[in-house]
Amino acid sequence: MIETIHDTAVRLIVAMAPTDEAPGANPAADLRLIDDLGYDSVRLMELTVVLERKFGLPRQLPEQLTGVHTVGDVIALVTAGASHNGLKP
Amino acid sequence: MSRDAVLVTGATGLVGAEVVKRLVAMNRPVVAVTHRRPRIVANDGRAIAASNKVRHVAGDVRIVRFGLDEKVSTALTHTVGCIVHCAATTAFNAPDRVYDELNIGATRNAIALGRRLDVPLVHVSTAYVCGRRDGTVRESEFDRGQSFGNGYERSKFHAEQLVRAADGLRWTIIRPGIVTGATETGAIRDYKNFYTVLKLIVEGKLRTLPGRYEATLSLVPVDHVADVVVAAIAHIDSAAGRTFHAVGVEAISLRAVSDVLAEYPSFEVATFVPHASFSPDELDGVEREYYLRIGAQYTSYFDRRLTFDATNAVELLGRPLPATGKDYLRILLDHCLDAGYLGSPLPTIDEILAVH
Repeated sequence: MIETIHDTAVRLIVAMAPTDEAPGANPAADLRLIDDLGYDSVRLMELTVVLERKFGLPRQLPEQLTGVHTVGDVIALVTAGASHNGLKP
Repeated sequence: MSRDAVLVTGATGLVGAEVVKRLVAMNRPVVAVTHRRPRIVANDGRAIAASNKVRHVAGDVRIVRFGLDEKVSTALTHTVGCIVHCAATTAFNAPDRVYDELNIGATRNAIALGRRLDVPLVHVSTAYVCGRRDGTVRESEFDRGQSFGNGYERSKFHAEQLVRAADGLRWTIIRPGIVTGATETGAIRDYKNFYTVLKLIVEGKLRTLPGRYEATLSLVPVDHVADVVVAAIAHIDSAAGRTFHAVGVEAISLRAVSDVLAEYPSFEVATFVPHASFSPDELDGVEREYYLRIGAQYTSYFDRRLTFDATNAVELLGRPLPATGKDYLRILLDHCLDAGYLGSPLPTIDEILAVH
C-alpha cells in the first residue's frame, strides 16, 4: 500500500512529538501541537526541517508558520506545498 | 465603591500570572483581561481560580478599549484604580504585523484605557530597549538613537515611547532583563528565549556562535520581576513618572556561562568566535538550520557587554537585588535537568529522517 503525504506527515508529527502520552497513529486534526503534543519552539523548528526535507518543500518563513497550531494545520501546509512539487496528497 | 482593583493585561503570561498571585495575596481585587486562555497559572504550576478577587473580563488588547463594551468599560471606572500592562509577545522572530498589533498597538490601547478610567498605567517594558550598546544603562536613559538586536526590542522601544509621550497619563515603567526561573528553586513554567538557545547549546546543536566571552546576559528571576511590578503598584504615587530596571545584582558573562556549563558532564559547550570570522555557510547542514532559524535571533545578546543600573528599583523595594551570577545559573540548570527540559534529548532530525 502506498502511503499518502497525509499519512507520512501524520507519522512524522507523532514520531517527533515530545509528549509522554503517545497520541496514537491517527491523532485528531484539531490536536494542538504545543498544548496536546508537547511541542516547544525548538521541536517545532525540527519538525519543520524534517517535513521540508521529506517532501522537498521550500524553507518555510516564520510568517507562514504563525497560524500553524494543530495537526490539521501542519497537514494542510505540507499537502499544499507537496502538491506544488507534483506529489499526490 | 472604592477603586482598589488592578486591571492586568497579559495575566496568563509568565510575569502577569505572578503579578496576579501577589495582588491576590495582598487582598487587591484583580480584573484580568484575557483573550484565548482564561486560565491563570502561577510559575509554580498552580492555577489561580477566578473568584470574587480575580475577575476575568473577555477582551482583546489589540482592539481599541480592549474590545470591552460600553457597559463593561463604565463598570470598570467604578472599581479599577490602576492598570498593569504585561501583555506582549516576547518572540524574537515574529512578523512586524504581530509586533505592531501586540506590542505597540496594545500599549496604545492600554494608554487610552488609562486615560478613560483616569488611572495610572504600570507598563512592563524590557531592559533591552537600550538596544545595541555596551556599558552601564541607567533607568533614566531611553532614546539615544540606538539600533536594536531584533524586532522585539524595537517594538518594545516604540511602546515605551508611546507611554512616555502620553499627555495626562500617570505612568510607571518596569524594564525586566531576561526573565528566568525563580530565585530559590530555578523553577520556570515556560521555557522560552534564553532557555531555547541554552537547550540548543547544551545538546550540541549550536556548537559555534558569533559572540565574545566578555558579553553579558542580564538574567532575572521571574519572582523578582513580579515583586518590582507589585511594589510599583503599592507605591504608585512615588513610582509615577519613574522607570525601574527589574534585574539581578549582576549580569553574567558568556565566559562564566561557559564555565558553568562545562561543570555538567552531559552538556556540550558552544565556542564563541568573533563576528568577522563567523559564517553560517561553514556550519554543517543541520547546524546551519539551527543557526539560521533560531540561533541568529540571539546573536546580538552574545555581543553586548551591558550592565543595568537598578538604583530606583532597590529604593522602591527597600532590599538588595537577587544574586544572578554563576550560583543562580547552576540553580536554573539543575531545575532544567530535574524537570527533564535538559538532559533527555529527543531523536534528532537526522535520526528521524533515517528511520522514517
